[in-house]
Amino acid sequence: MLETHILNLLLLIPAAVTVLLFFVPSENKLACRALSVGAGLVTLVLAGYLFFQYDQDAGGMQFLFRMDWVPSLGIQHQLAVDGISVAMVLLTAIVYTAGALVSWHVEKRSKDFYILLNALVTGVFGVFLSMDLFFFYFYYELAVVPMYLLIGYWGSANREYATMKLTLYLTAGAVVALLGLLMLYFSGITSEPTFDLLAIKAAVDAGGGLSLATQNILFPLLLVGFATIAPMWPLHTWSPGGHAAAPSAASMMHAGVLMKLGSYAIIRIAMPLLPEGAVIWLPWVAVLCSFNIIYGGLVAMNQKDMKFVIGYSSSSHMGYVLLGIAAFSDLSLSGAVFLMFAHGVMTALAFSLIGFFYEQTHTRMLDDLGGLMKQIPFVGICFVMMAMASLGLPGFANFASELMIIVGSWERYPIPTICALFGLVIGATYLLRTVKASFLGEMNPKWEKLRDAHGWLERSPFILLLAVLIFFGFAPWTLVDVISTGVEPLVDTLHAAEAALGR
Amino acid sequence: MDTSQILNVFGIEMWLGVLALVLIVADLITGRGRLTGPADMVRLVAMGGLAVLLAYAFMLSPAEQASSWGTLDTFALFFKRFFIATALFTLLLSAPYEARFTGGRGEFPALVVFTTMGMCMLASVSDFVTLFVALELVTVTLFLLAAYRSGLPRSIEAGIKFVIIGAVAAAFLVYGIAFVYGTTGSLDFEGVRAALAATDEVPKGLTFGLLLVVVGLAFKLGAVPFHIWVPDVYQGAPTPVTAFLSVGSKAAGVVLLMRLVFTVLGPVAGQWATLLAGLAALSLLMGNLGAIPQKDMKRFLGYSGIAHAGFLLIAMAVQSEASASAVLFYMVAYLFANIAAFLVVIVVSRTPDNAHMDRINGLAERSPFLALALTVSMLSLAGVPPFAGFVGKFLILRAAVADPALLPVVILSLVMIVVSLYYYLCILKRMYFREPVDTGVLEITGSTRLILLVCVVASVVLGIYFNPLVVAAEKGAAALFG
Repeated sequence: MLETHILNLLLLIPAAVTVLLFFVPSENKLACRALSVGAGLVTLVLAGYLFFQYDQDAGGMQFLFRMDWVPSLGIQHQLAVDGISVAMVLLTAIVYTAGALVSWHVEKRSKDFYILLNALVTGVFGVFLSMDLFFFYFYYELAVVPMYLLIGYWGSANREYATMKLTLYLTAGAVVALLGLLMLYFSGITSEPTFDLLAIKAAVDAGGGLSLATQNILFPLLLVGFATIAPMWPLHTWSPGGHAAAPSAASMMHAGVLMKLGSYAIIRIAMPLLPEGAVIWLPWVAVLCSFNIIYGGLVAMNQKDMKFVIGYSSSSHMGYVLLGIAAFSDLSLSGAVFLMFAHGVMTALAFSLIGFFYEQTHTRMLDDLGGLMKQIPFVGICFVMMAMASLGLPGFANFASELMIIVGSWERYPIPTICALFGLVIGATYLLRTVKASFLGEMNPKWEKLRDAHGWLERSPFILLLAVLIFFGFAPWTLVDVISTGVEPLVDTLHAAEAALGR
Repeated sequence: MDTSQILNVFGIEMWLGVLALVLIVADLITGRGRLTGPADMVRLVAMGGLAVLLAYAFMLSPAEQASSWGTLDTFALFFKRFFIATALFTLLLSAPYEARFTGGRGEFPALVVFTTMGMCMLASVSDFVTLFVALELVTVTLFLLAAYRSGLPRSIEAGIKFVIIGAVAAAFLVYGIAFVYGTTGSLDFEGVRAALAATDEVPKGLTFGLLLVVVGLAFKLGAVPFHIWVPDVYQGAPTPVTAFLSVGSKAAGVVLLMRLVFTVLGPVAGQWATLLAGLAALSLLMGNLGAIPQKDMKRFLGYSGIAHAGFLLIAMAVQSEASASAVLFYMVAYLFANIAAFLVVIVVSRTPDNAHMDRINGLAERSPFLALALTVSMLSLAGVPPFAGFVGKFLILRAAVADPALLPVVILSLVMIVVSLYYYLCILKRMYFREPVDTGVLEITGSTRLILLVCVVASVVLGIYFNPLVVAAEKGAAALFG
């Protein structure tokens, strides 16, 4: 029972909470909060179960659930996970739980806030679980649009501009991808047009891949569409402003999970279905992602607002993910997926911590802060650990994943890899600078009233996220083994395509 | 031609006519609608009658034999149900609005029913004479309805603009029909189709005639080149009438254009695709770009309607079964979204009586329920999942991508989806991020609540579990392809 319906449950729980919340009276804030946190915990348990029950020796797609949805159009409700999705589902559940916990303090229209948050989470789970191109797009848009209200209503600084830009950018990317998906649907890989991703993949693997000319058109369409949310330079400009304006839980979901949808889609759809196209176009990604790393890092170094530092650092780190994807070796691609996971947790931690003291200080300007460590030591220590994780200190998951990417990419793209190494130095610079400016040094007397995180309820999200980072930092193989079962077949496909192209 | 054959095809229309006459008589007896009670009674009778006819239309099965006057195929039935449902919604919408009428409250339902009768006839027409008669029945009653608030200059203005542009469009249409008759000697669709199929070289007169007919129908559809009346008339007409215009009248254009494009023009489909795609592109540009600076909700919805007409025209240009069924789905999604939007406009624009966009500022504070309904409506129109509008847009795009020749207009429509998302989100911005300008209490009656709930639930359900409607739409569209 659980085996067949676990993926349905993961999708339906946040969806059901979204609907249920409409019937909870808005004065009853406790019920809204408890319902969301409870749902988060249940999905966390289910995702953990999935992680442990996923059969690594067998690999491939597991826990398959399939149901015809619209037979005449070839649309089906089809859920399945491979090693890559397992990692992403786990990430989503972790960030969802933590996000629901830190939003406990949202007082303004908290019911509506949780409705939107749960709708967004439904979309994210849907993207990671769905093996149907129609529903993939469906959930993708479902994940993007609630963000508009989340940022616009509960956000801070310049939120109306930031949220409009974010929504339009991501939708623009999405429609480009939609064109690619529809062309893929009609490309004649399968005898009857179908949105069934597994069927298309099986047809491609059986030697029915598309002509090189078609792949050369489709791959860039999908790449540009999905890379907008990844976000690949120069399509990243929506991201730092959006992160900065968003309320904590929204930035956590956004930087933690939503941005991963882009790289995930490239790995899940574009690369396996269009391997020759991938081999031809991925070197461009390697070039552009170097800009991500260096440019994003340098801009982060000059920011005065902490959220902007983390925002630009996110786009810099996503450069590593894209580099790992572009190099498509076993090591680099596994590292990329692992970094998606690690960065998701790390950045969720960063935004939840910043959100915690921003609620009290109402400023995130580095010049105004300083010496906060004395006043809020728990948050301060968590923040320092977050910074250490982010700059790639051994012992955190980020280090392991970035190392995998750098080692795995060296052979194919030496120059971008050198950029990536240099990026680590830049990262260390702006993160240490941020830590110094905000938590160390003389304390501004006006922060004497600051309150630290007290009690389990307030501390639990930070502890949860840190524990995950440290656990997978010391035992990376536990996750990497699962991921690599999903990555290896893809790498083989790409290498075969490369050989066929004679490169 | 015997009577039973006519009744076979136009049964619903006969009953609608009877209902309208009953309403007029009832209005006369009860004192010409000056009293509140009797006028409400007349409206209730009208709604009851329409509800019964709607149920009847759902039970009706397609007629086996087509008479030469018209056909009752699955396609016609689909749209008859659609029109009656729209009329029912319009009357429901008019309940909270009627207090603003100075007189003639009893005749209002009768006129709506007459219009519906014309629309239902349009769904069945199979020759150009019936087409013109039915179309004029629809147009003339709509002229009256648009100018219904005779005390209000802008309502009169709306009526006059509508009459003038409508007359020009009708002239185009009749002139076109004359050319068609002149070159083929036939007035029924089958005959013209046969004439087109018979020759490789289509006579120039015939093409010219059909061109005029198609252009004339763009008036009903609210598409370029006869779109210019849309914002003005939408703004000036009483809001329930605007809702009726935006859904019913547009659907009337859709039903005729589909009959023409998919059946009559079938043999020469390829030659017309470019024209239709061009009109689609212009409508998309005109509607979407025009909607951005609007400050009046009804004008705004007018421009958005032009944009949606553009989307529908893309599907016409594709001319496949997939695109035809996509249009049917799209219209249903559009129905629920638009009815909800206009109802919210009616509620917020009570006093003072205008639909300036400021009136919806801070609506989320004043009435979360109205704000939710308008949010769902706007997002459905924008084509965002999980709402029905998304599936409609998706189906049209899916059909259009299959035809590589239409790639430019597909790309344009994708760009315009992003543009439209911008202005629909601006409505959300006003509702959620702005302080209210009005502070009065919003009067939300039980029926308002019910209609909005129906629209919201329908938009969501059809956006997620859309298979039944897709199947129904496919069945409806299949009739066009014999």
